[in-house]
Amino acid sequence: MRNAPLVLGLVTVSVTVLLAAILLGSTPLGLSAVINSLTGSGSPGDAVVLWEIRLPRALAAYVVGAVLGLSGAALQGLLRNPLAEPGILGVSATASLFATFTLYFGFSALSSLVLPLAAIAGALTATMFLALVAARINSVVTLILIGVGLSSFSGALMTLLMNLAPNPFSLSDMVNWMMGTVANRSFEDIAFAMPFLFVGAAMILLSGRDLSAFTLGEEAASGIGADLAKIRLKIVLGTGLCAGGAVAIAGTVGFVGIVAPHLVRPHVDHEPSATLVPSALLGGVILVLADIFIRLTPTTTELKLGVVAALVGAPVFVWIASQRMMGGNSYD
Amino acid sequence: MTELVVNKLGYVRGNKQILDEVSFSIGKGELVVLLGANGAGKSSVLKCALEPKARVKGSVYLNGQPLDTLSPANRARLVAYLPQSRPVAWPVKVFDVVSLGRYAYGVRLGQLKGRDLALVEAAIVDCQLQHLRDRRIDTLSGGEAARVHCARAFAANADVLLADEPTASLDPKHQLGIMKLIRDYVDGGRGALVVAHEANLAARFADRLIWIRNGRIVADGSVDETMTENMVAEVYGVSSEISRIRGYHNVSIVDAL
Repeated sequence: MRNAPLVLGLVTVSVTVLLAAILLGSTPLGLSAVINSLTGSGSPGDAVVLWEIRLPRALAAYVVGAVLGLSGAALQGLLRNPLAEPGILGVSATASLFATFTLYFGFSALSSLVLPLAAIAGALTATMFLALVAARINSVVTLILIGVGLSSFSGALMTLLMNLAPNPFSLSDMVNWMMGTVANRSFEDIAFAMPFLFVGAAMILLSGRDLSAFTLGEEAASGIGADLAKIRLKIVLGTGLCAGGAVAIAGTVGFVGIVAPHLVRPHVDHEPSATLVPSALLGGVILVLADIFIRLTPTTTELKLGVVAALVGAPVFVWIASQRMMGGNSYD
Repeated sequence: MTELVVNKLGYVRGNKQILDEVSFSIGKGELVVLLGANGAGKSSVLKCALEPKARVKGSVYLNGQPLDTLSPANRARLVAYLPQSRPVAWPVKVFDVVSLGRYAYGVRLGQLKGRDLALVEAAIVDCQLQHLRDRRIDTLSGGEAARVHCARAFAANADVLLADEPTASLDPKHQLGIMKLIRDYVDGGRGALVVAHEANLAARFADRLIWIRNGRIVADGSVDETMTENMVAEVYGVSSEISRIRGYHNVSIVDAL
């Protein structure tokens, strides 16, 4: 496998940043304290900091980054465009909208399952819509523009809900959701999303070969024996489950799905199937690093992960887009 | 023995009948060139032959077996297709593009072995790509890229090749090169249907010509039988003079009719 060295390197980096995320923070927790707590022989206070605050938070950031990186790489392979990503295409925004909807009407109070399920339903609705549109138009650029439109529309409906928020508490709930954060996440929050993420990631990872075929364009891909409709469905469902699960854990966090695959691609000969796993690992690393940065930044109000991701990711998006223009546009 | 039999293909786009009762067959060791003006329906013949959903009527058989009942992968093992537009989405390596010709056999890029690897290597040698195998596809010239796509189609080692304008936008030398490659591929015991604009190139390499006009076949026969000034006038709407240069038919266009 051509990506083996990269994967190995990124696994090492992943372990390192996760460890760093556990060690660093406002309460000093030394390496020995961490090891003691992990093995169950540390002080009860350290154990609470580790097991209930830092570890779930670091893992949440990692898992969300990983599935977003994977979804981005998969959508880019399917649509043959490096700017495709759940955030850009409106999948994350629609997932957030559905989640916000349950907050607005108070459904989320009925059961802890309601909000994450709504997020996943929103993501699947958006990906299905995009798949239907994609089957009717031939231009990937148009599809991306439609995704941008969907994103704006979902965003507008979300703002409308906030506008109509009955009280400051539900407003602040919704704002938090929209900004995206992994603060105060518990293992249960992650565990609930895991089955969806697992199935979604499996669907994507099993389609690696098919994404390679899409490199030739849909007509030639069909010619070499790719079942286009089946592959589209697999990727759409896979990315819908992943993006929905990510929103269920952390709310809207954008741009990871663009940045991670973009950095990976040159190191795997631009081969779509080889891009998947490294993009997932790098996506996880990026969000854990971003979250460490947030926790160590001495602001009075903690920065939100989605805000930081967008602050870094949006300029990178513009940069990738302008590079393509200047490069003669040969890969449109 | 007949290999590919296409039976009464019909295709309608909007209110326009694009293909009407198109029937022909391609035998083993036969290179058939499909000639026609822009918009005559040449590309549609290939697309409709391959894809049952693309046509409104007609059937296609390969060695007596209906092609429509096969899965896309099983069909691709029997019929290789080289479309007219060949956009490569990412700057991947030449070797990877050619390897995709083995997709129908379940290969994963970077993990080819055995027969798959042997056929990819053979296609690379046949298309003289040895020195380019690790180059990025976006760094190749038009002629080199055309050879890569041919090699991709050859690597499938299918019984029949359907190629849509494989020589489009190539200079004369590269046009000859590509047609020679396809001729050699066919002489290895396969059949090929090649869509072309260039009548002279067709005359030189084809065993048979199929002339198509407004979605209907107007003639199907050898170069000697069908390449006449009347045929050129009917199909292309131009007057011409046909001479022989070193034994090959040569069409010189005189004027538009």
